[in-house]
Amino acid sequence: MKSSKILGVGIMIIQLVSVVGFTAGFHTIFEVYNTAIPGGAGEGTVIEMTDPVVVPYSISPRNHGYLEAKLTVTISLVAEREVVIATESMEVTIPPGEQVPLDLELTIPLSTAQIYLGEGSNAEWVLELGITTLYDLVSFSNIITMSGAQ
Amino acid sequence: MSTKKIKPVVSAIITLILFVVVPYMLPEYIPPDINQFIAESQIDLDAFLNQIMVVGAVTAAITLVKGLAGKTSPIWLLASLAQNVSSLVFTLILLGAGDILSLGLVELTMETENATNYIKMNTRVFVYLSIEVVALSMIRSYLSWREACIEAAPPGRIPA
Repeated sequence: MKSSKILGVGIMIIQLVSVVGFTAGFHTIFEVYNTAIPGGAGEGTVIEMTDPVVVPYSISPRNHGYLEAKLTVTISLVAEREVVIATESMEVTIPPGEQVPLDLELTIPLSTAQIYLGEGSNAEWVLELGITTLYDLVSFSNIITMSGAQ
Repeated sequence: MSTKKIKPVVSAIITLILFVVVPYMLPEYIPPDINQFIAESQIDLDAFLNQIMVVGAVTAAITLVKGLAGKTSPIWLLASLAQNVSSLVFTLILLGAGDILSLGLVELTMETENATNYIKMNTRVFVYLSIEVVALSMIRSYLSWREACIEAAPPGRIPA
């Protein structure tokens, strides 16, 4: 067999692996993302001003894809776009076809919450969803920044 | 026109249709919601499609030249190498959403009334695989050309 033909077969295998990896990777990422993104981006969530103020964030992402996915969720309250007032993060590994509940609680002292969650505050909620799959070779992250004033 | 000459012409026409005509007509068929998403994500769709069309036209021309040149001709080898490079450029445009230099790292920022949405996609592994495939394809092109030269040489003569 000619060496160019042997090389051609090798190239075809790499191309096939790339296409399958790309399709399976992005299918997994978007399936996990669709179930991890909160509906309505937190609209209608009432934060009770107890001491401390506890902001719950619960999702149940499901992996309809064919590859294992690692989901990292970080929720933060940020002032002046830089100063992190409170932050909480959690990482879960979701095997294919599984659903893994994820519960986060952001705890803020009442005095701090009164400053940053009141009318006219310039604080912002930052929600970061990071998804990696295909042995951490492909990643997707989405950072949503919303006004923190109630 | 012989069949040997019809094949490259047909290949070039198909390449032109797929990578020039289809991208040219695509904006008319994009649904309004997807169009709005593209506008919000600050992707320059016209620039992206223009890049695809330019690469498509170049690839079609190379396909034609390669097909019409004899397999033992140096032009065939150059056209084959150029075709590999154009396929890499095409992959880089696609994976970089129009930004070749991003090398598969796509970053989009969408601003809405009360929220900012920042998206980052890392597909560099596929860029590296594409570079590897193109490098191997270039070696393959050279080997194919060399093998064709050896086959075409008169018996007992080793080509230079």
